[in-house]
Amino acid sequence: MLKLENLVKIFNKDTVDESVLFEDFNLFVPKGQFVSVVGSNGSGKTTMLNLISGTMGIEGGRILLDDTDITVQKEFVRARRIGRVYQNPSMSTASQMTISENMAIAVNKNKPFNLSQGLKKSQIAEFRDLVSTLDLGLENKMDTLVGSLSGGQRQALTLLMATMTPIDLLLLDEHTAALDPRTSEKIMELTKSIVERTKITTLMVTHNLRFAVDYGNRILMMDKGKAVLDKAGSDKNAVKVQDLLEIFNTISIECGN
Amino acid sequence: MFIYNTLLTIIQQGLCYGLVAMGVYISYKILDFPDLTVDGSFPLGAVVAITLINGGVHFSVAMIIAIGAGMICGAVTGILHVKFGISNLLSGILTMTALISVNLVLSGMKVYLPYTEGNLFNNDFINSFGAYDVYGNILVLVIICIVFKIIIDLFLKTKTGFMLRAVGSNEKMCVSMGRDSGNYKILGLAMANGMVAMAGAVYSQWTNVYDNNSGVGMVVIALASVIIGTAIFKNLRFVKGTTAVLVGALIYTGALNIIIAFGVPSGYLKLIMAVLFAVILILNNSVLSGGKKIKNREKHHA
Repeated sequence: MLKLENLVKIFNKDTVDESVLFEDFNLFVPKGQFVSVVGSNGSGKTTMLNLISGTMGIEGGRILLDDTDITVQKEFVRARRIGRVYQNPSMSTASQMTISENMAIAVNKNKPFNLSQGLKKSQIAEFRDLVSTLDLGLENKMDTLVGSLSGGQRQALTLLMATMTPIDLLLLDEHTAALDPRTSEKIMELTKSIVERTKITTLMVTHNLRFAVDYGNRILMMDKGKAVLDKAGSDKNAVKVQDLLEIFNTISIECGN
Repeated sequence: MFIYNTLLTIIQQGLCYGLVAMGVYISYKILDFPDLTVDGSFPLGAVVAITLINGGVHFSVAMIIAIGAGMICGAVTGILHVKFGISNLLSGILTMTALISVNLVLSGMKVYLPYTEGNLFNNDFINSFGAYDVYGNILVLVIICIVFKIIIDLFLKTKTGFMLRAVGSNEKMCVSMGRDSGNYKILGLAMANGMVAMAGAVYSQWTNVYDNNSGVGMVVIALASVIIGTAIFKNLRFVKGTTAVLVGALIYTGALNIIIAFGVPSGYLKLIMAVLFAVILILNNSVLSGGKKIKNREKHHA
């Protein structure tokens, strides 16, 4: 469960460039919900993820994750319970290390990184089985440096790594935006299967309206720091890409674009 | 005979520099941190060792304390960078500059100090080689290099080592694992400078004198060794980074000594060091990495 209470986010506070994004933003995401978040540039989608993950601080309000107040926790502390996949496939993997080594780090999340062996022989077979579920042929490349994988392969691996250990919240930050259409589709299917299997509460920011409509069980459309559309369950299923486009157009007209 | 003696010198000096290079390998290659503390932590290790040894402490204990002193310097650089947000280059420069005074204080304001007691290269074992003690020296240096190479290799395979490598490769990765990447940087820098200080202690015992200026240009020597080594073995992944930089150190020291052997006055040494390093960097950027071809193609298109 994720709860954002009366969030206030002001950029460049007390300067001439001051701009208020969130004035009094509230959001409640029940446990296990898969929320697709859409909105134009500058609507506050990615900022919202940054505030939740702790990359940015807030000027007011509270952030609760399963009844724990995480508002003042540092990013790395929050990361123990939150997994995040970025638009840039190179953000969450170590390019200079092999697939096995990366997975060995990921599976050890929230356990001590002590002087015991980093990658055990027995783990490699286990990781290989896990990677083969991606159906990308990575199981034969366990000793390949992650830096030499394609963007799609890397993103699939990142997604797998983020969910290797139990987490309470998964943040997907336009995680298919840098991929070609076919690979995007594949990553979305993978996302769906992982979220359905693990039942993690998920927030997915996307610019792909079809993905937003097709996946997840709640849709949130944001504009200038406010939710302009919020539909869950059967109401969400009724939402069509056309509906979203219409709202987008209305917003654009209001802005004078 | 002259050539043979030069070769023996190259091997000994090269192994000493190899120890520095292995330290810098941790900071520069693993952590991706250009650490200038090295110029200060190298003579620090030497002055700590000579003060203790001349004071009657056994050289093995003195060297362990020297490692500790170096680790503190590395940690200081790391803390300046991580906790106070000072840039990586500046943090190193600050510690290095402060160490100039620290080293002078420790040496009793003396620029040169001779060893008055037995040390790593002046003991019963080495002296049993008699007139061939240079072979004894080489044996001792080879053993030290191998021991520390194995320690570093093993460390890099532990969970802590994995995380250190991950931080150097992508800091975000460490954060996403719920760890403070800053602590790993401090740890890596402490290890690197502990290694460098040990190299300083070994080098001064080998030359049998403490030289306050021995650290000047050490960063260049170490970086050149690291870059030569890693460039040569780039496509041979089974060769460990530590092995590569040891070979790199021997090659760089060899090249320096050969130039000196042609009768270039020793005052030109640092100039030669810098020029040689520049040549290596240029070669590394163009020929060795194939970057030149790409550049030509760009020109062609333009």
